[in-house]
Amino acid sequence: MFWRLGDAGLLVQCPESIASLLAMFLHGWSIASADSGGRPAVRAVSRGDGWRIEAHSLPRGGVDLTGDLAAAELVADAAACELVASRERTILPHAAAVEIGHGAALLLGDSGSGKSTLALTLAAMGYRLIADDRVGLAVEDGAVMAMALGLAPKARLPLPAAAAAGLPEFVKARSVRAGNGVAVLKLATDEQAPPGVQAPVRAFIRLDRRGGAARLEAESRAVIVRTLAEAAAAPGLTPEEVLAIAVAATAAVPTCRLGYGESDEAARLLVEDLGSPSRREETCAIGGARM
Amino acid sequence: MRYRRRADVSETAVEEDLFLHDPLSRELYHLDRTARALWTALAEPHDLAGLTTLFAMAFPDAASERIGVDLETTLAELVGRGLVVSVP
Repeated sequence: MFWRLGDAGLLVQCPESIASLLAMFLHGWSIASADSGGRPAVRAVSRGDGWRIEAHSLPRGGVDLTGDLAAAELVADAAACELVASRERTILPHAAAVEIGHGAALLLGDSGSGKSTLALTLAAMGYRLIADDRVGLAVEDGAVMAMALGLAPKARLPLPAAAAAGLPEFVKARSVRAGNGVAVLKLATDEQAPPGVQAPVRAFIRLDRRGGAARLEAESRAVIVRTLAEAAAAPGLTPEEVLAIAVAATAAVPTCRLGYGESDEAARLLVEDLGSPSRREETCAIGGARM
Repeated sequence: MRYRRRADVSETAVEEDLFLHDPLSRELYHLDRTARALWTALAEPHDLAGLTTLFAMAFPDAASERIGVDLETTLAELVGRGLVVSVP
């Protein structure tokens, strides 16, 4: 069966058993059955006792896996990649992004550095989530823009013992599925930016969970360029083009390093530094204090 | 043996660091200051002894033995990645 996804009408071929699960992973995307209408951007092909998901953005054009849920998650990821690929000169770094004030703080770091936890901590404080894991990034007329993809945020379980007060409740109340150490979340429409929405990036922040007091310092541009270029998928772009985008982006926006131990302290510091109240002041209580 | 950097590798400077793009492997590389200095020197062919002399003059406070070890390691990495080639 064929399906049209999102405003771009991305054509996806997969059985209804997978399509019915896509809404769990794609938030703000319309999903409608369709006639074939051409070559699908993403398709799930039955293979043995599992599925082969095929898309340009996947390694060697396709990935084999088992289970409808895993297939739906990968179809969703591939669809988000195709959304990025449809935009000119846009890369897809592994990064979280949260609207603070009049722009986005883009959080970078190695796996385990706490990007998702910090992003969700900020979301629990009332700041709108753009992405918790992957975000579109483009430089347009000198402005660096972060683009929401509408992918479901995920929280690693159990949450860290030092998780911010309020975060466990936030995660629990929004969890639509939990298993294998991960909770898939469904945030309210004012808590997560819908796909395609862009916000100007105010700072690139490399997370360094080294312990101790939270501290925001200047970071070498080269380190941020390398982090962006290494962590970016960029369907249709050469590595040299990815590098050029990373270089242009870091020339226009401050590059910082956030050393921290506990995510709530780090979140408070970011809010203090980037300033301005949350979009949902009435709900933003964390650690017993209203921001 | 003398070495020289490949001419078709493109470079992008970001502050004191340098990024290289190899059009053959389509890989990106990030060079720190030492590797950048070596890359710059290898615009012209040099052997290891010549490079060590060059770097000893540029960094008079550094121990020449240490310079030799650092250069050898960095050169081996650049050669191993095919960014620098041996020349007659």
